[in-house]
Amino acid sequence: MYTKRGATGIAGLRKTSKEIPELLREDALSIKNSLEEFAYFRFRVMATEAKYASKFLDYAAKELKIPELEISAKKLLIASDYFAELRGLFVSCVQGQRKLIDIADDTEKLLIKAYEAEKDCFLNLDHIKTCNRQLLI
Amino acid sequence: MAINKNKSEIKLDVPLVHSDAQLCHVDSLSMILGYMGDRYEPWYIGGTSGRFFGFGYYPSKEYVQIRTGTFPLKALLKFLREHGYSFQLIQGKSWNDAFPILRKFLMDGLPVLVISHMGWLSYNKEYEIIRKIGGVVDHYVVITGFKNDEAIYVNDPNPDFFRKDAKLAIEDFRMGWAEKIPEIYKSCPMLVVKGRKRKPDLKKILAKSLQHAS
Repeated sequence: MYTKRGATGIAGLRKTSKEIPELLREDALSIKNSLEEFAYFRFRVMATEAKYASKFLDYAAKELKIPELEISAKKLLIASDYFAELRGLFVSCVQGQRKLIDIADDTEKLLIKAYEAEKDCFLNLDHIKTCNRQLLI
Repeated sequence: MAINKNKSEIKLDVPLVHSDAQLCHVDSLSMILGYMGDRYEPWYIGGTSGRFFGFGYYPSKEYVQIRTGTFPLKALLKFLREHGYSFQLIQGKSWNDAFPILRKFLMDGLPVLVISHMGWLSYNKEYEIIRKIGGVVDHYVVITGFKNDEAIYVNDPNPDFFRKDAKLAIEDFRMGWAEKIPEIYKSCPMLVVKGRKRKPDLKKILAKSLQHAS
């Protein structure tokens, strides 16, 4: 969802990319409490969901004959890889190989890259929606 | 479908579906529809039902929550409606009321999707840790059969511990059911898909999904 502000959609992901690295640097209780869920559940699910959503957009591109959807599909596949890498970082913390503060910079870089990929995906979708108003209403 | 003479044991041959991550909701529905002969991949169910779109970030002092998509059960029902299926959803029943209904569905040849209490799925020792920590962890599974009053059979889509027809002692299933009921009133849903009323309009469904995604 292409949102400009708030906690949901693209704006929420942008907020995450700013706040989660800060929480890691602060060694915050909230991030410590969420660490296992991030490592074993959340980022694994997000990586797979983005991969599946990409497949879905590829399928829709063919069925609806809108090849431009494939561009959005590719962007989600890129985001999926970043989410998988993020999961790896959190797993390394849970397993005691790295401290929270040590993964803050990498987390920030990966979250920003994931945000950029998803932003491109949804900007492209918005553009497609405008150009295919008849078909998509 | 394997049914013995007095119907004391039923085991429906429901295909096992599992993903690379914990997407037990779409995996379970894919199994049920696959049993009916309708092949819908989990990526398609998630894509059209709104499960994969819609990021949410909710930090608090104690916890950082990240969520995606609409509530899983709601998404599955949306999928079924849009794809022309007739289904029955039963919620909030006590064990004594629910189990005879569950058996009847199975005897009628209908596999049942339930949101189970993961910690009481005792065929997997790994799940026991959830019970020890406390609280309820929802896990969507498909009940494929039963054996007398001893056991039920479960198709479990867990990405790491997927199992077809895992045998679960009725007593453990009952314990999980009883623990879930007080926590959320409308918990322990049982969902069966009975058939298809109409052919879905694929293009319309895809267009609508994209509208919500962007």
